[in-house]
Amino acid sequence: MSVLEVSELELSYGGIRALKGVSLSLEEGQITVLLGANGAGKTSLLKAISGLVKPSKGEIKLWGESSLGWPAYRITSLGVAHVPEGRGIFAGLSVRENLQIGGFLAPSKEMPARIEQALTLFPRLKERYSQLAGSLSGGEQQMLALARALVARPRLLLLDEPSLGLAPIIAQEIFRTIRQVHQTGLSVLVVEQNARLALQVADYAYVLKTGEVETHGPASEIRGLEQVSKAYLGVT
Amino acid sequence: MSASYFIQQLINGLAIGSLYALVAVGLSMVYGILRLINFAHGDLMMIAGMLGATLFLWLSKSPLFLFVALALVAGLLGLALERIAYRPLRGAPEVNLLITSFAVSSILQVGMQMIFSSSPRRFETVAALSKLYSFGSVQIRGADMATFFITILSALLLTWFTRRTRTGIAMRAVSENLDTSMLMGINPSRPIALAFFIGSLLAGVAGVLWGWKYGQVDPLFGFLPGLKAFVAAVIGGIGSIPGAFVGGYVLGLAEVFFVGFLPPSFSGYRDVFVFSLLFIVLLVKPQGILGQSKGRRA
Amino acid sequence: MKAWGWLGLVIAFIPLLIWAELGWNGYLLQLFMFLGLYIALTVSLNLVNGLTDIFSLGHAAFMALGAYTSALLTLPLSRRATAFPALPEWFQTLVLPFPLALLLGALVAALVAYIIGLPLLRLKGHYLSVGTLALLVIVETLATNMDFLTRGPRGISGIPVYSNAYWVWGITLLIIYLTVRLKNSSFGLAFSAIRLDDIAAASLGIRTVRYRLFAFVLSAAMAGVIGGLWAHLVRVISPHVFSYGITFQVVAMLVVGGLGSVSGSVLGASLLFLIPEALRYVERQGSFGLSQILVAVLLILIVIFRPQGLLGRNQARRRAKEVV
Ligand SMILES: Nc1ncnc2c1ncn2[C@@H]1O[C@H](COP(=O)(O)OP(=O)(O)O)[C@@H](O)[C@H]1O
Ligand SMILES: [Mg+2]
Repeated sequence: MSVLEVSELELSYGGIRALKGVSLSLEEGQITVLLGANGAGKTSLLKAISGLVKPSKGEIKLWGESSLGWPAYRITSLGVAHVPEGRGIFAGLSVRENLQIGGFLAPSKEMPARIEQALTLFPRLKERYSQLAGSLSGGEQQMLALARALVARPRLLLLDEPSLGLAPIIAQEIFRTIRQVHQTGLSVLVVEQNARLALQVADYAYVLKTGEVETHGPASEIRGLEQVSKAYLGVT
Repeated sequence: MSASYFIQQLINGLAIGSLYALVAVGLSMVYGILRLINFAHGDLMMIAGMLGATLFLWLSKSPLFLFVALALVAGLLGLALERIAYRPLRGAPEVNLLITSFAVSSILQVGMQMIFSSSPRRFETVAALSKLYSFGSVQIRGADMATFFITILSALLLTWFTRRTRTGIAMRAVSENLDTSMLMGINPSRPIALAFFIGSLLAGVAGVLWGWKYGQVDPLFGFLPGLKAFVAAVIGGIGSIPGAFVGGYVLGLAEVFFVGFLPPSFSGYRDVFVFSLLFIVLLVKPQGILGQSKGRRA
Repeated sequence: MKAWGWLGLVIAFIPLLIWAELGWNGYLLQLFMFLGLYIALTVSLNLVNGLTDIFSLGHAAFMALGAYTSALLTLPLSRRATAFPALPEWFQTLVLPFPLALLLGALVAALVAYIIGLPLLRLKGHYLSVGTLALLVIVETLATNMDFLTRGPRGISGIPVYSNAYWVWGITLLIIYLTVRLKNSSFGLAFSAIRLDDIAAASLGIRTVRYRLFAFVLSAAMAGVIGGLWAHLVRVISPHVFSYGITFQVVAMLVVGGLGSVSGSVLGASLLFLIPEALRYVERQGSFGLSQILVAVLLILIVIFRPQGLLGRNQARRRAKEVV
C-alpha cells in the first residue's frame, strides 16, 4: 500500500497558482526526493500534505485515508512529521523543550527514552541541551529540527531542504542520518536543491516544474536524464 | 528629598505596577499567540470590579470567596469572548481582530452602564485591607501589600507553568510559531483558550484588587488601565510573560516617580508621560526589555 | 467619475442645500449637517486606513486640534479676557474670520501629523495603530490639563455658530472629491502597492515613508477642518468629545462600508449615523445604550461574515494559511 497518494492537486495563493494538478505516490519504506527550481511549488506541496495550506482541488490520501481539509495537528497525529523549510525550531525554547514539544502527542512516560534515542543520533545536541535553540549554529538547528521530528516516532517524514545554508560536510552528515533512520522502516519525502546529494540516498525521484510534475522515476534513472543533469546537477 | 519619601513612592509604584502587571499578562499572552490587541481586556477587570462592588454585601462574610468567584467569572467571560468573537476571525487580517476587540469593549462598557448605571459604586473592603501598617516612617496599606504578594505569586506560578509543564511549553511554542506548533500535533485552540482564561482570570483578580485599593469603581474604569497595561506589555517585550511583569513594574514606578518628583501642577500630565514612554520604546527598542528581537510574523 | 460628473453632483446638491437651510426644521437640519460631518470623517480616515497600510486610531486627535484652534481664534473678544486671561496680548485683540480659522485649524493638525508622523510611520501594523492611539490619549490629556489654553475639562463654550449646510456639505464634497481623485491617481496606485507589499513597493522605487506621510498629513488636515466645522456647529467643545468614542464610531463606519471604498465610506457613515438616530426614539423609552450595542454587534458580524465591508474591495485574506 502506498504511504501517500496525491492526485491532481491544485493550490493557489490569491491569484498565484502554485500547484497545477500534481500527482505523486510514495511507497512504504522508501526515500523519495522532490527536485525542482525555486518557486516550483515544492514547499507548497509539502505544506498541503501536512495540512498547513488548503488545496483548492484534488485528493491527498495518507495510508489510504483521505486527509484533505484536516487541520495540521490532526495529520501529525496520523504519524506525519514535517520539518519545514528554514527548520522551524522554536528559538525561544531550549533544546530540551524543543524535543519535548516534538513528542507532544507521545505518552509522557516514553519521553525520556525517545529523547535519549534522538540525542544518540545527534550527540552534539546533548552538549547544548539546556541552551536556547536560537543560540545554536545553523547545522545544529537543522539537527535539532530533525531530532525533534524523530521524537514523534513518525511513519512518514517530510523534509524541506534540510541542507539549505549548511556547509557541505554538515549536509552530508544530515543525509547520512536520514538514511540511518530510514533503515528503521520510515518513509521519507525530501525536498532538496542539492540533487546530487539527494539522488545518492533516494530510491525514487520526482521533478517539479512551475507547479507540475515534469518527470519521475527511480533515482538511478532520474540521475541519468539529460534535462535533470543540466538543470540540477550542474553538468553541461 | 528624604529617604522615607523615596521609599514611600517606591511602594506606591510597586502597588500600581502590580495592577498593571496583572492586566498586562493576559494582553501579552493573547497578543503573543493571536497578534490581537485585546481592547476589551481592561473591561474584564472592570466587570470583576463592578460585580464585586455589587455583590460584596451579600458575600461580605468571605472576601476570599468573593475574590476567587470574581476571578473565575472574569476568566470564564474571557473564554466566552474568545469563543464568540475572536475564534471566527482566526486567520483574518489583524485589523479585523483589532476592530472586533474595540467593539467588544464597547459592548461590555455600555452593557454594564445599562445594567448598573454610569455612576461610581462604592467597593466595600475589609478592615485588614484598608488598614495602614507602619514600618518606621513608611506606611503601607493592607490592600497594597495583598496586591503585591498576589502579583508576585502569580508571576511565580505562571513562570513555573510555562517552563515546567507540557501545556505551558506548548503555549510558548504556539506563541512563537503557530504553524510549526501545529506540525508538532498541538491543536492551537487549546493554548489560545487557556491564554484567554488565565489572562482574564488575572484581570479579574486585578479588578477586585483595584476596588480594594481605590474604594470605588465605575463602568468605564477599565479602559485606560487596559491601555496602559498594553504599554507595560510593550515595554516588557510583548508576548513574554516575565516581560509583562517587568513592564508592569517599570511603568508603575516610572509613573509614580514622574508624579511624585515633579511639581504637583504636572500630575495631570501623567498619561502624557506614560504614552510618550510608549512612543519612545516603540521607536528605540520595539522588542521591549525581555522580548525576542528576531523577526516575528508581521 | 469625470469632472462634469462632479460638477453635476455639486449642482444637483445646491437646491437640496438651499431647501435644507430654508425649509427644514432645526432638528432635521442638524441631523443633515452631522451626517455630512460623519461622512467627511469616514472618507478622510479612509484616505489613511483604507488606501495605505496604516491603520490609524488617532483621527479624533486631529479633529480636536482643528476644533480648538478654530474655536479659539474666532471666539468673541468679550469672552477671551475672562476665560483666557493668561493668553498673550495678540490673542486678546485678534478675531479671525471663520474660513481663515478653519484653515489654520487644518494647518495645526497637519503640522502635528507631520512632526509625529516622521518617527511614528516607521512603525508597522499593530504598533503603528497603538502609536496613533497613544497620540489620541496624549492630545486628550493635554487638552484636559492645559487649562490656560483649553479651560480643561470645562471646555470652551460660546463658540460662534458659523457652520451651516453650505459649509459642511461643501467641505464634505470637497473631501470626497479629493479622496477619490487621489485614489485613482498614480499616488493611489502607489498606495495600493504599498498596502499589498511594502518591501516590494520600496524596491520598485516607491518612497513608502514619504507616501505614507503624505496620506497621514493630508488626512489629518481634513480631520482638522472637520473638527473646526464641528466646533462651530455644537458651540461647546471639551476634551472628551474627541476621544475613543468618536474614534471607534468612525472606524466602525469605515469598516462597515468597506476599507478602501469611498462610496463604502459614504454608505457606512450614513447607515451607522442614521440607524442609531432612529433608535434614539426607542432609547427615550428608557433603554439607554441600545444603539451603541447594536452598532458594535453589527460591526462584529460584518467583520466576521463580510470582512471586506459592504462595498469594500474583495481583498484576499492577508494570511494565506488557514488556522483551524
Ligand atoms: N504565502 C505565499 N503567498 C503567495 N505566494 C506564495 C506563497 N508561498 C509561495 N508562493 C508562491 O507559490 C509558488 C511556489 O512556491 P513554493 O512552494 O515556495 O516553491 P519552492 O518551495 O519550490 O521554491 C511561488 O511562485 C511562490 O512565489
Ligand atoms: Mg521551498
